[in-house]
Amino acid sequence: MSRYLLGRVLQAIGVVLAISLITFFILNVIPGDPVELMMGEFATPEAIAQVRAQMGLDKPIFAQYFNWLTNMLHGDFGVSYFQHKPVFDMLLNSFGYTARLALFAYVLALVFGLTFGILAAVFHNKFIDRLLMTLSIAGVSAPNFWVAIILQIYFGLTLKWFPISGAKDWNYYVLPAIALGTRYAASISRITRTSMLEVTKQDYMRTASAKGVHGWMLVMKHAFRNALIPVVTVAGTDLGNILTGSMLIETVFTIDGIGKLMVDAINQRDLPLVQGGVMYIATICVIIYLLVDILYAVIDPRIRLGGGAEG
Amino acid sequence: MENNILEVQDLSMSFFNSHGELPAVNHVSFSVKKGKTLGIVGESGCGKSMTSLCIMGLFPQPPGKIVGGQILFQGRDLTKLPAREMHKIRGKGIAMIFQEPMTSLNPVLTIGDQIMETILLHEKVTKAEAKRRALEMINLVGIPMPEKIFASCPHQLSGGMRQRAMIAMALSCEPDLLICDEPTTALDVTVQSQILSLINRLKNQLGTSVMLITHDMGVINEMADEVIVMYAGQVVEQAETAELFAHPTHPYTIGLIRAIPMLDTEVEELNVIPGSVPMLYELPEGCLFAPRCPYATDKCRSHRPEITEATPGHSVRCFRYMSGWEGE
Amino acid sequence: MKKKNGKDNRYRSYYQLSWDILRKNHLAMFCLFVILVLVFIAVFAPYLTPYEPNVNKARDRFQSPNPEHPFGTDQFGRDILTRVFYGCRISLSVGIISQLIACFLGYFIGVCAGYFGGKTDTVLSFIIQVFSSFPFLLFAIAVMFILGPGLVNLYIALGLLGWTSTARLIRGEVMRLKNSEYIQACIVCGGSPLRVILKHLLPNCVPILIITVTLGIPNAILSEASLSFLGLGVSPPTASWGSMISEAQPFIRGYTYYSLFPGLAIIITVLSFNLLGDGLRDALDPKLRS
Repeated sequence: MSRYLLGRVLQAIGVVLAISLITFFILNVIPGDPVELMMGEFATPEAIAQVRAQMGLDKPIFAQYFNWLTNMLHGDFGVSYFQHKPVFDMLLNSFGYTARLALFAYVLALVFGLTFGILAAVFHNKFIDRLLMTLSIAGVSAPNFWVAIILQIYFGLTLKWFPISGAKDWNYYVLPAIALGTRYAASISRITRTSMLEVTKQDYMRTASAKGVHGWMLVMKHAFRNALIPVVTVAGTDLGNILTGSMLIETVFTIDGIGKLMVDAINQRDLPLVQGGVMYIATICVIIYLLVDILYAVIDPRIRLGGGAEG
Repeated sequence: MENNILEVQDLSMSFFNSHGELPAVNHVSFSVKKGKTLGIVGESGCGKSMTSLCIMGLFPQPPGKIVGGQILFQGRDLTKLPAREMHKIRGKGIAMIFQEPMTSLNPVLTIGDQIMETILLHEKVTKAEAKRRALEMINLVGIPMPEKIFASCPHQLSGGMRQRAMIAMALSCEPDLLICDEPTTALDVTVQSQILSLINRLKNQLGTSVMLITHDMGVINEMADEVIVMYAGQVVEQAETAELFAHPTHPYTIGLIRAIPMLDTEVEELNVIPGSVPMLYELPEGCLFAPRCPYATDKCRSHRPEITEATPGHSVRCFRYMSGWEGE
Repeated sequence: MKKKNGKDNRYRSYYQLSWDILRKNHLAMFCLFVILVLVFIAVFAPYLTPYEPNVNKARDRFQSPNPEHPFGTDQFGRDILTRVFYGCRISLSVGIISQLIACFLGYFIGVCAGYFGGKTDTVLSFIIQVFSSFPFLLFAIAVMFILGPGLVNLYIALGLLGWTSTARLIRGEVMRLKNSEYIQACIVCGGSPLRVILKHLLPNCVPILIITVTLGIPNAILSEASLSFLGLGVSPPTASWGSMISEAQPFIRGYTYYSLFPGLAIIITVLSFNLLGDGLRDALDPKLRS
């Protein structure tokens, strides 16, 4: 177990480093000089050169990378070109909104996804199964920003049940969370159903029935725990996707989370902010995937306890 | 009869699919006597496993459906029992061991959990008591270090150990009938005989009746008190073990016995029965064994024989016998 | 036994059998039909309506659906139906071309990792892992941020990023195939790696590629819509479903139809590809075949 864990942690660190390398280099080949962009068209060449030196942009690119990386490890993500505030603080301030939205959406996605998936598998080929699977394939196919707008029009403007912009109170999060969570509820319910049906065919399910296990105990204790293994992968990836998907939803609902911050930074070509944001989200995702792998080991004793006689 | 724990009478189970009705179990009758072992032998696909799953009510349903007959277990007809009653019988009245110990245990639960589950399900005992009994069972099936195995997961055990754990699980509520579906097929030869003698020992110790399903005549010879031979969903011969081996009557049974490899006799090659079990959707018109039978006549190919008692306690389904034709 | 159509399955090829299975899947066949209609619309977009997609007509602004403009008009008086038809071009071409790029990349990276194994595999698997640790959309946003808006850039960005799942599947399949006797025989007989990869492994991987491409297209279409919605897709005034929804957003209070139609177009397209992909998976997966 500890060896498995250590291996995964080292791998995760490697992945974060690789991501930082990619992020830094691809974002540094952007056409156009960021300093000129930042200082406006009336800046003199001397002033630009001075700022460049100040920002370390005159050094070789590898030196710049290591500089950037070590700064980042100290929590220094640079300073926004336009708002002139430390990127790290800006990200931290916005993260609360994104985290609340993502968590709300994720809980919705998990609760509905797992419930619908299990129900569909238990009532395989019955009406409930067909209905839920039709809904979920539609859910997977609908772009979440469009769902967001439709929700705004219907529940916000027509029925006036929920506010459609800002994030002052919990009820501001309802529509955004539904818009963000729908797609992932759908994908989780699909994989849960498939996985449950696969497990149902296994010999140990027959053994359990032969012991007299039946009903929900058979479904939850014997089928569901085995079915969870592929579900955890999808659910883990989905949490990462929810974090990025919130960019679109935050834009639609004008919530000042990381997503909206990033979208604004992209439109203003605010390089340090984009770079910092990408690194921030990517790192969170890697951590999530690491947690998923640990969760794997908790669920599946074949990983936790290592190989046995036949592995 | 009083001393019959299980009586299967004229049981028929069919699958219904695009080919129409496929008779997987075809008018099968037999009984298991209290404390005795009944062997069911036949090639794969002959309906022996399906018969046992019918008894447990675990055959795939749909497409399977019992179309006739009854299964009397302690006087109650299992085919008509409501699901709730059936759950109580499975594991407690009738327990079952399956062929693949590798895949028949739940990989995410410990051995102890799985044995305790049966006990907790059927008997009103505390968890501590259930654990004590589970450990006792593990000990009983001859697994060393019960405490360690109790906390182990199936993948940490060898095939033989897993099958022992399966047996412990099946016998944990001291069922009246134990159905063993090819219990040793997936195991090494040395482990096979250990498992068989374990089943025999526990049968005597606990007074359990056993229904043993196998394709191996050698296992039958060693274990069974009485044998039925099945072919393509039908019973083709039924007798006490000693009688069957002494006077095999149906050509299929003769073929099966001849196909047993003998170490003490010199043979050029193993005898085999030519051909294979017919698919259920292309059953022959006459006797089901006729296409492979060396003695088949035109009558065999056009008419199906009924099962008849040849000598007292020895029944066979063959025209050859019915018409009084004897021996070779 | 009654044999249907008098055909004996033993003498029919793998793809004939797959096609037979797919043909019986009415939902998948319907989706195939819808996709063909969409392709028709994309190809013949200019001839299907009398309007130009990008010409402003201030007089016709914000018309609700009416016989002349079945989907209404937008804030510049452009016919929304026409723009939805033109948007179909963008979506389909982005979906298909980017997935062909992704399929090509995924196959070669996967096959190299699976075939050569050892260090090559370690390095390539690590790269696969790095790429799949990036949330897809975030990466696409970063790449489009650098490349700038534009159709070709969309092909490249989505193609360069969408290969990881293909690579992973191909790697697994190749590792399995490599141990099969006939591939071993070919290697022992001195077949060069390139020959083995192209002549023997590729045909075996085609079903996987067909499935991943079909199921990758809807994701690419959704990503394109998201990118265009964020202003990182095609540059205006080019009509794309995502950018149309983005343009419609400020007008949701007074003019709700505008965002409805491009959204429905996305759903129909993506749904069709998803369902066809599911059908293809059922038809092509030999494990499910009896």
